[in-house]
Amino acid sequence: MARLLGQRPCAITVGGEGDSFATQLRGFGLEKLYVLDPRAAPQWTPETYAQAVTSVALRRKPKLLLFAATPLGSDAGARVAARLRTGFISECVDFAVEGERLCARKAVHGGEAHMTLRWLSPPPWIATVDLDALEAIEGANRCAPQVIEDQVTLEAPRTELVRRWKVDPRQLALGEASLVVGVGRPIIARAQELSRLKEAAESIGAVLGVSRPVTDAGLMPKESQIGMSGNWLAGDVYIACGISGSAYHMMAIHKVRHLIAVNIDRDAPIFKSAELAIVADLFELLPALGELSKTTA
Amino acid sequence: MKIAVCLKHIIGPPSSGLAGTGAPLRHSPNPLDLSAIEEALRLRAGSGGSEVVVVTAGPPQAELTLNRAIAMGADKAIRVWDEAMCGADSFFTAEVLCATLRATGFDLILCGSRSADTGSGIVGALLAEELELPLIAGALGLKYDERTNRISADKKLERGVRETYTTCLPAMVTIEHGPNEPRWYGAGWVHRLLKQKIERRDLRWLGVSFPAQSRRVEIVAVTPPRPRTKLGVNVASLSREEKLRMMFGQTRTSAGQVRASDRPEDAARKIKEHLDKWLG
Amino acid sequence: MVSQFKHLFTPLQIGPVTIRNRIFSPPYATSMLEDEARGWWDRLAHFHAERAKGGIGLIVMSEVCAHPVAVAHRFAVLDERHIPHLRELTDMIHAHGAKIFQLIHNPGRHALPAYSHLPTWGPSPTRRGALAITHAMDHDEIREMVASYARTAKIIKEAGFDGIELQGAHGFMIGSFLSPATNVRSDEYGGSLENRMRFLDEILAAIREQIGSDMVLGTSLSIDELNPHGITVEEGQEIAARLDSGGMLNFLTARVGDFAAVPIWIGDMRVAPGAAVPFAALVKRAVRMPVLTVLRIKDPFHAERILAEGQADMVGMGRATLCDPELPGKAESGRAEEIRYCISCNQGCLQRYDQGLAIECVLNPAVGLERELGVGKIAPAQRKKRVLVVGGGPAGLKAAETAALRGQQVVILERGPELGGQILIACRLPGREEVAEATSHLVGQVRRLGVEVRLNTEASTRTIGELRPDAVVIATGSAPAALPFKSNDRVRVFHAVDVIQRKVEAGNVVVVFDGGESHWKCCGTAELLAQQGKKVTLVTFRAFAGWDLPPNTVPPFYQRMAEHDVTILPFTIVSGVTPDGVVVRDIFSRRERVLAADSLVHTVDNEVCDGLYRELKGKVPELYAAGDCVSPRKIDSAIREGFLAALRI
Repeated sequence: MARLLGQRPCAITVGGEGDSFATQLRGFGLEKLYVLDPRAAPQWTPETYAQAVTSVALRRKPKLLLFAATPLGSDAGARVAARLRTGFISECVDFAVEGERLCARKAVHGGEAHMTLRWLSPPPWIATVDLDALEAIEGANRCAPQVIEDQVTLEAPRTELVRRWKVDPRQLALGEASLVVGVGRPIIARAQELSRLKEAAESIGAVLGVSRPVTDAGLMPKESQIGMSGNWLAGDVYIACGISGSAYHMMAIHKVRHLIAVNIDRDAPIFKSAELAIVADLFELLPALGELSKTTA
Repeated sequence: MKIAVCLKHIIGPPSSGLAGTGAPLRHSPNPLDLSAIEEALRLRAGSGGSEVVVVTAGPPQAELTLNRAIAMGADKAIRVWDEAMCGADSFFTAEVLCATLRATGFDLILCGSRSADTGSGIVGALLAEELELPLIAGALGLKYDERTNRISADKKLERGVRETYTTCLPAMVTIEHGPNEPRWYGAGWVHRLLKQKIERRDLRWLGVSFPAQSRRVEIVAVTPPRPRTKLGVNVASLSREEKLRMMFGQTRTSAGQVRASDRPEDAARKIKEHLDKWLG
Repeated sequence: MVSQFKHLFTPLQIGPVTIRNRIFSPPYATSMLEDEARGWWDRLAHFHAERAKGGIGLIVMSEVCAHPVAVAHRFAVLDERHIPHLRELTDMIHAHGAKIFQLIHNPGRHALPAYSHLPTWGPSPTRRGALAITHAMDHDEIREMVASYARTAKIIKEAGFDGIELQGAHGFMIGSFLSPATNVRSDEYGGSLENRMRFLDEILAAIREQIGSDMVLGTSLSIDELNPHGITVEEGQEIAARLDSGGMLNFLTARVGDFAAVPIWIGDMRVAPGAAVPFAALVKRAVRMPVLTVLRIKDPFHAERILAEGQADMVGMGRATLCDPELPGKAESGRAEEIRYCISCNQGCLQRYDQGLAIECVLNPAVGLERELGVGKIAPAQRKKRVLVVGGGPAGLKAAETAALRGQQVVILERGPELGGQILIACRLPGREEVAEATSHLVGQVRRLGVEVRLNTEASTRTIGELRPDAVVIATGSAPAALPFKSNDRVRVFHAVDVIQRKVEAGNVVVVFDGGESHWKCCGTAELLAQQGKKVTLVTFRAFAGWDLPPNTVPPFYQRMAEHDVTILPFTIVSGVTPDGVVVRDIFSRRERVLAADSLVHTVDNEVCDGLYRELKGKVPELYAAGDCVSPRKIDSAIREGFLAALRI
């Protein structure tokens, strides 16, 4: 996108390990990484993030300021735009240059139409970006960005973050859960063991899902299905048990950060894609995992 | 406690499939603003002597939406409008709302985190900025502590993570979809609808003039939805062998294999180690 | 009802034509064109109308080629006589709300002289992967060919089609002019890209002159021929871009592969789902006109994703709707779990086409017989009977499903803990998990239809008598015969099915013998053992391993065997097992030698399990047998016989 404008892309982050983060970012084409001292704020909340970004923006004068359209990004982005009283376009799915001006396109009216908008106020132009609409591009330019330590002085925040906590996994939809255990075909012939496996999943704080043959056989409802025609996962860890790893299943879990595969077949195809491959009988392993979590909890 | 709720009336295209057929436009209240009214009514129920005032900046058709708010249980409803406001952007709308809220008075202002039509989601932040209020955005489930005069709210993050924020009143809170469904009617709704009048105000009464600063954002076009093309795999950068492997589903996606074929207890321990590392 | 497939059921405008959804049936030859005496286009009309009725948005029909030299199988060269019949066909499609384009095919260098009795035509006199050496066309012949495209287009327009698609991909005639691998001409039709495109440009101009601008015209193109000497993806994009700006076309179908890549472009289940989609996405970035994608897309959820990510404007689901014509309707009305998914086995469709037979589908016995057995043609039972199905494999499941659909009261008795029969074994072969969807779907169906399923229940004459059924369908299947060789201290002999089910583990040096037919049971077993790290020798009495497989799956199989370092011995049988190893004999020279091995995995033929059928004869009011228990065959027989038995009840 910076190429569209002929500008140089930079990023702002807060944290102590600026250098290691910078190395992780190599190949994404960032020129500079402004790193802020985490001690500049008592807590890092949308309010303090917004203040910090505003401060950096006023000094560094970017033309375009982008936030991800996540709960944090949307919140902070709106605050920065309100503070700077500058144009704000949220949940953009695409950008284009028309004439000399940058335009952003977003879904409106629940996705029934797309609206193309452009900024009339002077820069910085602020937008939040719908992450689903984009894909990460690892480009040829594999340099880590230049790390610049930036100073900010913030006012005392007026809202306070009291606690951060996780919802009971049993209340989460599969697509929202951080930890998911998936069970495949082998359960069909051993349906009586399903409750033991459910218990084990609960003990480790996971939501239990199943592959499609299992819902076809009527053992679990459709809401529990993981797969192309069921739930697509986007969590942190997925433990796939007795699931061979068909292309369709892999598509539905490609956003998961870490894949653990448990299968009694040494040559299960899913092992080629798993970060941790365990050759074991799931009917022994899952309960053992559940027991272990109970005793160490 | 006086709770003011900003409510947007949305005029949208006819339902999909009817566009261009001359079917009438759809009028509806912004769903998240209804959630905000629901939260306000719950707070009122929890603390005696509170009042819920609903404010809309909109044309006469917006009274349909205000009637909905009255039926739900709002104590007062105010509609502000002026011809000059046609096609107003978020900044002007926020200015108008601010002036109205100052005139009405408030302890807590609620509104939906974004509107269902063009949804920029900035109005809450603009109100907070202009009225110099602390802001909690994207909240679900508000609680008010009378003793400390503090409001607390939960915010939903990704992957089942929640955060709880608190702040002192007066404050601004924007509302996300939460567990509480907006009610249709509160007790005594017929009576309220018959008796309650909607207060109507214009810009002159508010003392607001058309903004000296013009629009910050303008609409260039409205088109049918067109997703941006994701390449997935950029086949232009693959060798012939790589393309064949990709088409036969033979790509390996991860490095770092750790294989274990131990007893279940040992394998379980290995998994637990990784879970602790990855989930923190 | 608002569909969960927002993108899939949004209409699409292609040129002057509005298509009701984003699902299309790509052109595939069916060999269903009959002789005039036997009804000519009628069978095809009902075949395609069934899919239109099932909800598809657009059908692109094949069967038509431009010129007598371009004939293969039962292709038709059109003349005026065809018009009224084709008009009936297009009217039927339109009556069901779908649109229909006609493909003008032209196999070019890959035409079949056995059908045409003419030489094959192309740009240059090469053999390069074709059956015969091509006759290089001179300028008169090029003009003649362009004129025949125009003439065919005119007839197509008069027959009421909404549009025309040209076959420009896969190294057929147009593709062979485009590709530097097959076009080495030095005149204005060869050399530079502009020259190689000239033939296509002339055809487009001639067709447009005939059909005007109120009819759709598009072409398919191989964006990447997967051939280092052919069209590469950069040039493919350039061709697409030039066609886009040329203004003649309303759409482009982005395909992949030259002719030799047919194992990919009619890919079986080993080919990744949506394998060609990334190529379509590249084209989508280069052109403004609608881009169509096709190849191994059988799932509406997958199709929805492709559209949502902007990778194509329409998604081809050919084999998917061959297998289940009602797929689009089921998806739209929230009944996606009732879809009968294609398993991409290529056995019913492509394998029969290669043999010159009309195509079928192993899972859909009504293909080609829509007039008699199509959707809605199955008569409900006159009297509700109590039907007992013995055996929960594909034959029994299909019989149960069909009987239940007809309103019978059905009970399935299954000996094992799970329904699925031998499919449960077949799906454990490497890369063949998709096969399980055949029975997985039926399991869901029988559950939804209220069939009573009794697992872990052995059936006997007595237990059946106690149930007092009005009709019994025996689908008890088959089991491997006894092994002809005995293990000794040093060399163990195994059944292939035991290895496949991981009940036993073979040693480190294994001989696999396809003692029955040369199909996936033995080929897949060899692959499984190789994946497990064994040193494998595959012995077959046939000319090559996989003799009975769909032909386009054999080259990739051999590729995988080469990568695993598997030795294949054709025209060889196993004649004995000694402590030194496995004795093999060449069937022609009759010379024997001993292969050092510690295991022999034998794919023996199955024997019928028909004891119960014989006992029950004359003891129940109606008795039927279906599938392997009649004679051990494959899934298509099981499905068909279960289906037909239930129709007769």
